Amino acid sequence: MISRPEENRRDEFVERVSKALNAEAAALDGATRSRLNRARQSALATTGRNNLSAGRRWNWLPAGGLALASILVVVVWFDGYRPGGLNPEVIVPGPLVINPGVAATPSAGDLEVLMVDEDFELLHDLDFYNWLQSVPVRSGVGSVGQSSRGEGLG
Amino acid sequence: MDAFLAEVEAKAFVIARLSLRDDDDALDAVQDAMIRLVRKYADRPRAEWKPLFYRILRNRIVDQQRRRSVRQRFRAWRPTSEAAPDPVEEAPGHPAGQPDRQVELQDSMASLHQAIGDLPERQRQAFLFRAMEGLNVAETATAMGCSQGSVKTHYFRAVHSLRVTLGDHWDEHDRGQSAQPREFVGHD
Repeated sequence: MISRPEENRRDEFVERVSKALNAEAAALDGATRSRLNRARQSALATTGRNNLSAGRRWNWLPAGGLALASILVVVVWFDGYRPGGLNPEVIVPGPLVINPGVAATPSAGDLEVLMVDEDFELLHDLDFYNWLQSVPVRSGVGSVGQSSRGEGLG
Repeated sequence: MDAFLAEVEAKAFVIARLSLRDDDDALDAVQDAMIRLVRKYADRPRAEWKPLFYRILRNRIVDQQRRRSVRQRFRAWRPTSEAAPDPVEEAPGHPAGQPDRQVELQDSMASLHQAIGDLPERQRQAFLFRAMEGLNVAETATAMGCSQGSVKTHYFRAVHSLRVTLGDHWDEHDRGQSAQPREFVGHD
């Protein structure tokens, strides 16, 4: 156990040593001061370089992130919807319904269909319109019906 | 960061010089510590800079001492002609073998340098960080990479050793005579 006077004595001793060492540091010669200053400036210059390089390292992030997100959207889109025809249950009038049992694989043509704002009734009657296109066109109202009827009867 | 480094650089240099006993090595250690602090810890809160800086400096000092020790072992092992001068002995700042060293040792500051330089490394660090730089126990523990209890022990032993070594030779009267801080012994 250290008695109070001895503690005080020690503190005074440490205080004197501390003052002497601090005075020594404060009175360094000019050459040493200059070298320390150069060392400091050199160290700080590395900060600038680091900041610059760090900036260079990360300044691509927003543009890169956007590009990556775009690529991901396209990849997921085309990967998830492989060619093979659009599942009729994928696109139906009204709310979109995806049949969980069937892989939804629309082709690029399907995408085109999705992109345009078409009347969905047209899609439902597509077979009819295909047939309509294949029959010869005759003049006169009702010629189609007559023609088909006539060809069928004849 | 500039202001912080400007604030600590002189004390750091004196601390490094007391450990390494060489101006150039001390400057190298301080510069390395500055660079490492700036590169790795510039974004840390300012309150953490000082203990971090001194921790880096301590590591640099220990590294330099190890390298020096290896070099000395290598020189001792390598056969040399007896006439060849020992570059370590002739290097500026080396404490031994210089006549003026004996004169300066009588000076109070030289005695203090000698006494601090002779302390075991951990005691010297604890003493210098606490007494000179004014780090508290926790900061000193961070700088030294040890527990606060170890800091207290090293510091107490260092003060005790210095008191025993310097004794009454190092008092106010001596300080009055050598009030002007001087260059480290052997500094050119």
